[in-house]
Amino acid sequence: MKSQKLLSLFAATAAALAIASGASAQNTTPDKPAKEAPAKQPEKDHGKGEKADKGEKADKGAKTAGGVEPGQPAPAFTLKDTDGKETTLAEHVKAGKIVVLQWFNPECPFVVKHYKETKTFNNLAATYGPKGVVFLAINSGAPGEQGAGVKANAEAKKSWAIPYPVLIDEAGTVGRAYGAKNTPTMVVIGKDGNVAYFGAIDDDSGAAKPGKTNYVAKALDELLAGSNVTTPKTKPYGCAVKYGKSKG
Amino acid sequence: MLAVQFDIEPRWHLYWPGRNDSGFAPEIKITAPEGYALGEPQWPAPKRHLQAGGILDHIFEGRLTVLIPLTVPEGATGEARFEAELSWLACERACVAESAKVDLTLRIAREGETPLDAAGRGLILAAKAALPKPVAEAKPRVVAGVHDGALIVEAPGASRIEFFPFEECVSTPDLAGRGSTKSARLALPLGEEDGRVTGLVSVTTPGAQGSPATTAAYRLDLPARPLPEVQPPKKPADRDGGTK
Repeated sequence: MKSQKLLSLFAATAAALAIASGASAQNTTPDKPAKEAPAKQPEKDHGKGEKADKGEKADKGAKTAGGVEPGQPAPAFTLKDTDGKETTLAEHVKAGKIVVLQWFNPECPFVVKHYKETKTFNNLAATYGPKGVVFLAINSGAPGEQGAGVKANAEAKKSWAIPYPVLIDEAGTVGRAYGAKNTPTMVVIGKDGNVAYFGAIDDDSGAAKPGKTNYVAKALDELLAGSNVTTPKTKPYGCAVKYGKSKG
Repeated sequence: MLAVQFDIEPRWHLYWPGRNDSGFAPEIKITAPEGYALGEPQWPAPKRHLQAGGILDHIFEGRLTVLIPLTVPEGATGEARFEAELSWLACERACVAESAKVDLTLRIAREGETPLDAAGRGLILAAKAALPKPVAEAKPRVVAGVHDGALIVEAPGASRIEFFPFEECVSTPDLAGRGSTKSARLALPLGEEDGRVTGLVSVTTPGAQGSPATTAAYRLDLPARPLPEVQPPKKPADRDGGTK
């Protein structure tokens, strides 16, 4: 917001309020190339995904590049966190844990809202961590994008006291496999390894305040009580995941 | 009519209040003096914005003017002050959430008085002229309908047709892949639920002899499950015998 010139009167009833928009100052300093080795991931349908990004995919009914629906098996992954430590989904599923995935970008205003201002995520982990629920944040931003890379995420983890790993997915493979388009996109995986919830964190899609209903908490309550998740899917909201451009 | 104008810096965009994969449209809260009635904000047509990962949004770049109908109470005199509380998400690759308050004081014109502010008048008239019109008023003609579970839009001579669904439109499972075509016929599969196909159809027509192409947008509102068309009665021997 810069200038606020006000244009005035048009007849008795017309006027314009004028403002300028588009902060240029906030551009992120691009990270230095991450020192971490790229995460090991199943790469097999990479090519397929790329094609769909350009909108060339022809099959009718295909929703997006990849993507999961509630009830389907959660795609397996192995990613490194900001300390270089490897995490697999399989290890948690094998241990019989409920897993909550959260697509993360420490500079996305929606993510900032839920960490810095409302403590939504820290509260969620504080409530459900002791009940055996595993939380994993995943950043699928490509190198050089806002909030991507080990450094920015390690800093965010520290300053927001995030008690769970932030996994680095710079190739975007895991994000695409889940069809995550937003930060935050939330995925709850049941003990059976299937997706139990996919969608938004809550029901307020603005960047200013939390919503009234936290869908993830609701899904976790229901799973922990051994009942069905009544709202297995909502429309995620937030920033776009900053995927890298298609290769090739 | 009030207008809120956003001058968006190069490379940055704001979001249209229809179906998007990310972001949110500017929120405009206007406080008017008692007795002044405000209508629903009127938005121009956006641009389609497809990013890596199949993330599809509809956005505004450059200058965005949102119109807000205003009814001045009978017999109003003196001045009226309007305040607008605005918050918006601006993105290029990165996103920032911003907000502002602007205000405007108007003097109520007397009967027969000429408009005082040419700039404001011009701005509002231009924004009004650019608002999407009903598809029935399209010139040249644009034909839209639902056939076999797909939205079909035909605009003879068009070099591009795009569909921008409103929030309440039935689902459009492959909007990223099929919501835009560089041809004169758009075919967009619709979800199977009941409801209406609501949104904007944007039609680009190449300019004649090197003049630039023009794009116009039209409002669309159709039932997603039309009643089966009444077929004209066929002559008995018509089809069945001939083709096999």
